[in-house]
Amino acid sequence: MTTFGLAQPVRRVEDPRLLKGEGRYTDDIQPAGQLRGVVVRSPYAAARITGIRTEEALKVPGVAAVYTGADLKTDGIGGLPCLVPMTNRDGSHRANVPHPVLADGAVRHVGDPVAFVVAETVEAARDAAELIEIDYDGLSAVTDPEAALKADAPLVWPDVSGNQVFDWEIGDRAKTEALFAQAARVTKLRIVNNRVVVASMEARAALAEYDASSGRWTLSTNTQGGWLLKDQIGPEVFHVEADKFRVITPDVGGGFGMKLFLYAEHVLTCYAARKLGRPVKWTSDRSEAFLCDTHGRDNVTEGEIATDADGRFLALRTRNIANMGAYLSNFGPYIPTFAGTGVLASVYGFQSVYANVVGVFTNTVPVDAYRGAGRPESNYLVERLIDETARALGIDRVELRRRNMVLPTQMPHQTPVGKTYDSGDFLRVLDAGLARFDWAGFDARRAQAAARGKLLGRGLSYYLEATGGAPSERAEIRFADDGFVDVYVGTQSTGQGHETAYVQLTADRLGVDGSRVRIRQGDTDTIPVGGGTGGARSLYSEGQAILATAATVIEKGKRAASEMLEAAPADIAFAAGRFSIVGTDRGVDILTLAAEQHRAIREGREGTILDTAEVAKVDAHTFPNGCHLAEVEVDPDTGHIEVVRYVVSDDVGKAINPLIVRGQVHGGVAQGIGQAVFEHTVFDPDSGQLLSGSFMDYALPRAGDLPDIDVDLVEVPCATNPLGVKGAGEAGAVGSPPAVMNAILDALSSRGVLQLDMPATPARVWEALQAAPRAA
Amino acid sequence: MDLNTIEELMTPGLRNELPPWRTGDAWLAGGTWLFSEPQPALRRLIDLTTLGWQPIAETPDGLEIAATCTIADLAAFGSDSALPAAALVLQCCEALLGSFKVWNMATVGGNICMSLPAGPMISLATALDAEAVIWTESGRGPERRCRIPELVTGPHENSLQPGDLLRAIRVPLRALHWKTAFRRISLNPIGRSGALLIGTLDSATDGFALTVTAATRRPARLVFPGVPDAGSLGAKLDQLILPSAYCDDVHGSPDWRQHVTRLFAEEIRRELGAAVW
Repeated sequence: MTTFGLAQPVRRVEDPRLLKGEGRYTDDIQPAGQLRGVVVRSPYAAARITGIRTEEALKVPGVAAVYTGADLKTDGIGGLPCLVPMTNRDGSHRANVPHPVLADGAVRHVGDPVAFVVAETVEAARDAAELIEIDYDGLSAVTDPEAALKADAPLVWPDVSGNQVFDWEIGDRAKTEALFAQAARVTKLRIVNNRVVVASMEARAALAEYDASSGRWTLSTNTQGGWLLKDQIGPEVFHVEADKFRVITPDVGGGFGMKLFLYAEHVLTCYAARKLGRPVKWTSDRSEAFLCDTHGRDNVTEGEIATDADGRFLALRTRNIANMGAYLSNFGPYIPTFAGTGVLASVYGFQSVYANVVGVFTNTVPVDAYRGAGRPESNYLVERLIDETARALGIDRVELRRRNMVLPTQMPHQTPVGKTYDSGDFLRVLDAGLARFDWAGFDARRAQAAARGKLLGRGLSYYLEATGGAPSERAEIRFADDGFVDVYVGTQSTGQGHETAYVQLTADRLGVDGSRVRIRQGDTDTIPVGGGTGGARSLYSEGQAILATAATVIEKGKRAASEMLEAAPADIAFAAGRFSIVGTDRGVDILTLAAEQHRAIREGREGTILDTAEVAKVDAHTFPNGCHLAEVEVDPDTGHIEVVRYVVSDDVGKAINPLIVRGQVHGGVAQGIGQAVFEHTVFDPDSGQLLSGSFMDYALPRAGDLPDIDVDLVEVPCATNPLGVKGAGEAGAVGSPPAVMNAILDALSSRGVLQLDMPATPARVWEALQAAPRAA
Repeated sequence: MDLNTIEELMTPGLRNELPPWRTGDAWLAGGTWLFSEPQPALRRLIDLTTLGWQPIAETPDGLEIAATCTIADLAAFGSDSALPAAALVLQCCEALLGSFKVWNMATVGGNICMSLPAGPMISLATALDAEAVIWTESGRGPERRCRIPELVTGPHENSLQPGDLLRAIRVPLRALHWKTAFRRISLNPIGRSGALLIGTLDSATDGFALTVTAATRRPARLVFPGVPDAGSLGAKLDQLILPSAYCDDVHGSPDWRQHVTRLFAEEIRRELGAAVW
């Protein structure tokens, strides 16, 4: 077992660099001659633009240019694409509206980009921005997705009737209806999944440089994978080949899905860099980030479970209204549909599932993926609905889940929404969680809390996540002249610890010390293809690529070693980083062998370069799952909630690095508790202004607001990849909102509160208690 | 952020060097709000820190806290002082949502003049029955004095006229010896207050006062000759703070704020009453 061995809690090798301020983020890059860009944004949620005057702005010393939508149109710059084809229930296609980089004569949400000012300094650009005169003809706005569907609602897009983007379905409707018709009991629930601001620690930034001689751009920007950007911005926006763009992703301070997408600012910096022949940088400030980063969630969902007389789940039926915002972001329509509904069956043996999802335009910031991306929303619905069903049937909620779980003997399990689970031992994971949480000891704790005037509640959720992302991944292993092994990967760490996990994998396979392995990422020129990071895909995708590449390296090494050691290739064995002749003590370690081969080639002798690149097909995605258990204490006098106990029993498959897995789960749980208890994105319904537009009014959870989070790993190896891993990046955020809300409702149910939407702020909790029929 | 419309920064060393007030001027103390968002209407900043006001001065009449006293300085006083009211000083400082960087720059005067419902320096000064000392007419005119509830009249609203300068708040000596009780609630423990109530008890006279802030659009101080009974306290709350006076924003509804105000008021009454009964 080495320091970097698999399954070891190796401390993250990237942390010393990042913690000492030695990270290099996009805004840290300062090329000579750099100009700075500032985006002028709409103060209106809906308005026609009747005039833009930039003359005074252009007179500000240091201003290089001011661009408006008219300039982009003149130069043939395309809009931002939505990458999701979709067919409606009636066979028609979803609404397809443009997403102009700068306003095309109208603005559709507060923060919509209208002009781009480029100057020698940010200060000059801001001075100039204030001198741009824009005439707005204000229009009525709509921000609530249900209100937007009403007949008299203002239209965000005149050509999109009823603001309806799509009306999509999945599942066997007829079979579902039949099962509902024969059900002994039907339980219904309507829930709101609140909109959240992503709030990554590092705000977005983009630095574009243009080389006129080659006609190529270099775009340095904080992404979750530059390849997706390159493939869009070239063909779709600038109408050139994708390879005209080199996208460099330096260190990234958090993405959570939000940094996957192509944004207006990417285009604007590239456009200006080409026009002006100088590097152009834009960096978001925090206030701007609230208005220009995609938001997450924002669904209103009705769900129904049909059960038989024994409490067995027959069918699930849902209708979800999903707020898309004013424009369709890259994957906006994908999130509540293909991504979200794929896990609706969760770990339960539903005979049929039918889901109808209606996407809606509103005058709000576009919505797209946020940690979990559709799966948290579906799990939240199902787990809330199961608790409601248990209450209605008078069956213990643990027992109800237990009674309906798919068993290991039923694997692989085909769900009614087209997923095939390869593995899972849900009962074992559930029982492990219950024991660790001391579920049975709750009554005593509740009595203690009651003595203090507090309502104690316990909640659980059993989540199932379906990882996603690109269907292949690439790895390249190169033996560098300085004695290091460089591994080039197509995923993109935004803080997850890839540099450590991949080192562990590589060190294990090649038998080299982990300190001699470097992970290279984030440059589309040196890494020709990559799927980026999102959907918790990185370890199982990139891991397979690293395994495949390492295997080829070893095969090449055997040939090279046979030459060096003057033995038949068949007599060469590889173990613990050393090629040796079987049955002898003669051999050579892999680093020496690689260096010797490089030397031979340099000196004109024959040699075998061990460097190798392989692309691994990712045939099947994975299904991390687990049990979240929360205990909350409610002050019925004020409505204040405190999460006092939290246990996760997680099956993320084999844990390559349990320390990193637990850290990932901790982060996800923090975000889930944030959504459940604190975070609320509020738009003024009349003006469309974002009322929670800063951290003074948008409450993020802080470390002190969170309990100790005890994560138990129950490893049920994934059967569809050789590493047996399932993914852990999103899991914490998927399981935590329903666990916390179920706990809150468990506490409040004794006072007659049976329904409450997130976030459970003190005011909401207190108001629910006042409105309850049996309120004290 | 940089205030890119500022054309001039004045740094007066003496009161008589304060320039005549003109449109586009702003007093600059800590600058934590001024520099937090665009201020396109501003052209000139008049830095008050160069006047060299002593942050906190203990006088025979009480305590004079300069408008330029930072939260950090005030918190240090609250930690170090043996005065009974010192604990309240520290509690109010800790109610100010801000990092140590903000604490080191943000000022007592800035927080009061910002006149937000949740401004904890407003809560503190109101509870201690402090008097605001205002230099009028560009800071060079006659001195005006008023209590904080007369100064802060609503969210972002106060009775300061253009060119009026808050010089200090003066806390009467007797108030420094009051027993205090503090209650606060917010979306998360370190967050903008949804309601912040302070009770004071003058042991010498048994005089009781309840200060209501953050829940209401402007501060209110309810004074009683002694610790009232629950009914009297509730009645006076309802009489002096109408339902329309409670804030309605993302931090909580008016109904909830009225409820927690009543709840905290009663808790405070009991806590301080226990010292008398």
